[in-house]
Amino acid sequence: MKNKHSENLPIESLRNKVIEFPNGLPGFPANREFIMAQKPEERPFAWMQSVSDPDLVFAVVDAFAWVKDFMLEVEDSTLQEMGSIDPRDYAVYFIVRIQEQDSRTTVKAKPNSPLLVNVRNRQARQVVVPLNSSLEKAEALCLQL
Amino acid sequence: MLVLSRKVGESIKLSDDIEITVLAVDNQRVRLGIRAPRHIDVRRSTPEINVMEANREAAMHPQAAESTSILSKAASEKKKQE
Repeated sequence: MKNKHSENLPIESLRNKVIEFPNGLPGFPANREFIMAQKPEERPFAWMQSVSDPDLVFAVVDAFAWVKDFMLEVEDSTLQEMGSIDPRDYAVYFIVRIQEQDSRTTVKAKPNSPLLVNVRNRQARQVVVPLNSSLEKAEALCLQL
Repeated sequence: MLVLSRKVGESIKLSDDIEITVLAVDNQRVRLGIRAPRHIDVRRSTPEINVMEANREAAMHPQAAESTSILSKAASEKKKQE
């Protein structure tokens, strides 16, 4: 998947839906299913909550909203395994790290290991990608709250 | 862990259909050639370990997450930046 696609991603269709990581999420192999929860005012962020362990949540952000002109290279074989080689079928999220530091909150993304979600069959996978210039931009971005 | 010694050009086999050959050794770096069926998922494991760590660091408890409505704040801050 080499093309960028900032055009209307069907990310909205995942709201309150369960996505499935067939091999679990790295570091959390027992957690295969996550529900994507999002209040309208939280866009482009969302919560990804484990179905089997509701005490486990991750903050995620729509990659294409986090950084413009974002590009991602994923092996076609990976996409094939996930059920579609059409990039338009995929939503891409970065996992977000929220940290408290000296009474400030910082929000940073983890762009080298994005989450791919096939929005048609809701198959999800975390892939490791090499950093390119757009991903470096994404990594450098930091929100201070 | 099973430990084997191989010279450059020698290989090991996993089952019948996976073969790993030592192609070159240069100081601390070893080049490996891997022959395996397509369905076998081959990848470097270091990034995988980093991803696990990064995921563990990013994991949150829903109470901390919900009570502060932190993503709403992040969303409006993101809009301000643009």
